[in-house]
Amino acid sequence: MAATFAWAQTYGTSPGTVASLGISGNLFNFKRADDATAANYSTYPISAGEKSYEVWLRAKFTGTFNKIDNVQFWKSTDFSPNTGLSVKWAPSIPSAYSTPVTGVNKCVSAVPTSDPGTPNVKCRNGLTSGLVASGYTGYIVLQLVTTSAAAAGDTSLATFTLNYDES
Amino acid sequence: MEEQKKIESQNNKIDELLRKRQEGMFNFSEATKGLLSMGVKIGKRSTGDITVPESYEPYLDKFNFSNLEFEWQVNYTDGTILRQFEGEIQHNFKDIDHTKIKNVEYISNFGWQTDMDEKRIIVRLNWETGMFEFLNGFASQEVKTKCCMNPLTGEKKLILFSRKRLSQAQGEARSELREFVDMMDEFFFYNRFILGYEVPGGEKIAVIIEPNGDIKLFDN
Repeated sequence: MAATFAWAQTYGTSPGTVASLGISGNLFNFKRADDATAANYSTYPISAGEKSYEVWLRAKFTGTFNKIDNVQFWKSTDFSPNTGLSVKWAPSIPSAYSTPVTGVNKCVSAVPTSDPGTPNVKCRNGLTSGLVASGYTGYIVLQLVTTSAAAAGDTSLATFTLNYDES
Repeated sequence: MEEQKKIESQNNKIDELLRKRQEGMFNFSEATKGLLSMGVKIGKRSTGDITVPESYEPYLDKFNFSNLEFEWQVNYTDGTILRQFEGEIQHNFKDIDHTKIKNVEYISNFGWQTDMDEKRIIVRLNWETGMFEFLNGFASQEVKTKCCMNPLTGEKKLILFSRKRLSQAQGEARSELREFVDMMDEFFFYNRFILGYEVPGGEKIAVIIEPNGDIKLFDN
């Protein structure tokens, strides 16, 4: 098999618990709870004007490969409508996990909304280092930030893209 | 009179929703066709089905192990061959013996509607001359001029990898909407295949093969 890819989420008090999310379907929801399930978002809603808990994601690669590098992440499509909704992320890709919060912590920039052109997710603490054996990329930390203009109820959908080179 | 106005208003609402629905269906169809013609594969989580362009049919069993549109094959000067996929065994870049490469090919997992004898081989790179042969696919004159005209002998570093993109929707559609279209059921992937070389001094001659067979210069 070629390299096998899956999303993983780390949650809970540092050093945290790692959960494999798989590859497709709705893998997580932004909510006011720090766990690794998409199911209970309606029990932990985000009130308009609040932020969600940070979601700490990583791409996990296993199987046989020479190198995985050039890892890029961006938001291909935004929520529609997106009034009062924005997804922020941690542009400097923290090397170490910290317990997710609902305040302003790591997520201070808007997620790129188009192909960034160059790697923006670290592997082995570098943007060009790549993975040479099974393992995880650096963390992709996301947080939904809302304003009082956000509509009540479920948000619509946003599409996120991961790009990588494999040899 | 008032009742008539209510009926008119209702009819206008119905017309508006019909327009919206028709526009949505048209946009959906047009976007799906556009994605497929680019070679984007649309996966269905619920069924495991993958929608592929018609031109990809029929996928060939022999090379279909990897679910990739193209797979590489290295032909050595001693007549032996190293394939990326050999049954259950997968080879990768580090398995290639760079000291005895004769040529490197990308082979398609589907037949091309051409008269070429080698219907499966899309690109061949002659390692000694540095010249490409485009046996199938769609290479522009610009690509051919850059890659097929000037031999470049001497030391080279092989460039051979695939660039993979995976997109998926996150979020929730209201359950009363999900009844009609399950927006969470789809994911999208798109593979590109890169072949070329770098010469001392840093110059790169490489092409990128898109999953629909379009071949472009790779200058990344």
